Amino acid sequence: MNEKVLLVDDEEDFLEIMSERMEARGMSVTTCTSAEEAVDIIKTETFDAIILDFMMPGMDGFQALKEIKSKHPEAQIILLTGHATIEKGVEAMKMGATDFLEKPADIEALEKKIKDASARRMLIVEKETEERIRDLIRRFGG
Amino acid sequence: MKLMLTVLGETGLRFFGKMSAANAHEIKNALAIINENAGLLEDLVKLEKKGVLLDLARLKRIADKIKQQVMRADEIAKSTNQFSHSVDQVHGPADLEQSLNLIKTMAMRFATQRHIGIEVVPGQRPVTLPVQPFMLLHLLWLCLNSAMASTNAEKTIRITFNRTDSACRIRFGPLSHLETATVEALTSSVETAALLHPMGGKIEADLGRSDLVLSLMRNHRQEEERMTQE
Repeated sequence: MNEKVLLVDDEEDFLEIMSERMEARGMSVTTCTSAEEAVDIIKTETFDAIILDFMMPGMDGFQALKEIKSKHPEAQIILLTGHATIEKGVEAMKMGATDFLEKPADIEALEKKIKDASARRMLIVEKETEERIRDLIRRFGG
Repeated sequence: MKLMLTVLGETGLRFFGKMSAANAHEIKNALAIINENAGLLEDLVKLEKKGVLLDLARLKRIADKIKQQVMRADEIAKSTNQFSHSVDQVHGPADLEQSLNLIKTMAMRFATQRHIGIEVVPGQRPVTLPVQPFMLLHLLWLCLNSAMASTNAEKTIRITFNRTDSACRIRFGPLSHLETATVEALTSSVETAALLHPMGGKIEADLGRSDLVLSLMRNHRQEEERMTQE
């Protein structure tokens, strides 16, 4: 299955090369250079995973994580950071991040995390769909 | 005096940590791009083993990108080194233009985050100050940070300086949102006061030109010593 990924980082060189390598591994990648743009994009598109740089101009990774999770609880967000600390990792996970990875990241590790995130998202969506169907049956009989 | 030294020690350490962390982050970003380019080379070698021909022009582009990022990381590492050594000479002298260029590089990440450019205009004549270079950098950072908060994104802050026999004046501008209150808030902080005092400095808002102006005495220490003797 082709995972659909949104990659958000203010380093354009990083975006260009990372998306190329991810696409070579069968993923479909959309990129943007700010968290504000990412928030806009996910209003109209869904992704199996969102890879978010922790420190960006304007809205930072934590703010974006909070914003996205409040509107799309099923979103799977992997935070990518230049300086990972245990405290920040714990804080990110508490705020709903799926995973936390330090730059420079190993692409095989990132690919695995994306696949895990995609599977997790699918489970959430399936569960929500099931609940909606049950609700419909309850309301309209069956 | 003791209180001032404590303030300088504590806030100086915080400033040192903030700058070091920001630059470590920048180096990591450069390393991340180098890492991905190396990974891309590995991907291309794997493809070549499967019969896909290597594109030499592509390889050249990858090599160029790696070199670019190595240069970027090298510049940050050099600046960080220079910054770390700024604490070595307790009584200076500090070269003003060199200090302005160094603080510009050190502050680049914070400026980029706010989409602000910084330009240091070379001076007509060199200016040296009898002060610890680190303290001067700390004070310049406080002014620059305040200037960045007083302007719009997509703007460039020009830093110019000139000197007279006894003083030098550093201008940060033009700042579209400069207000007297901003400068008052800056100068009333204990941190700024502790830095301004040993340099005989003051900070003012030139609202006519929308500049934040830092003035420093060039021979403040000699002046203080003379007054003590008298």
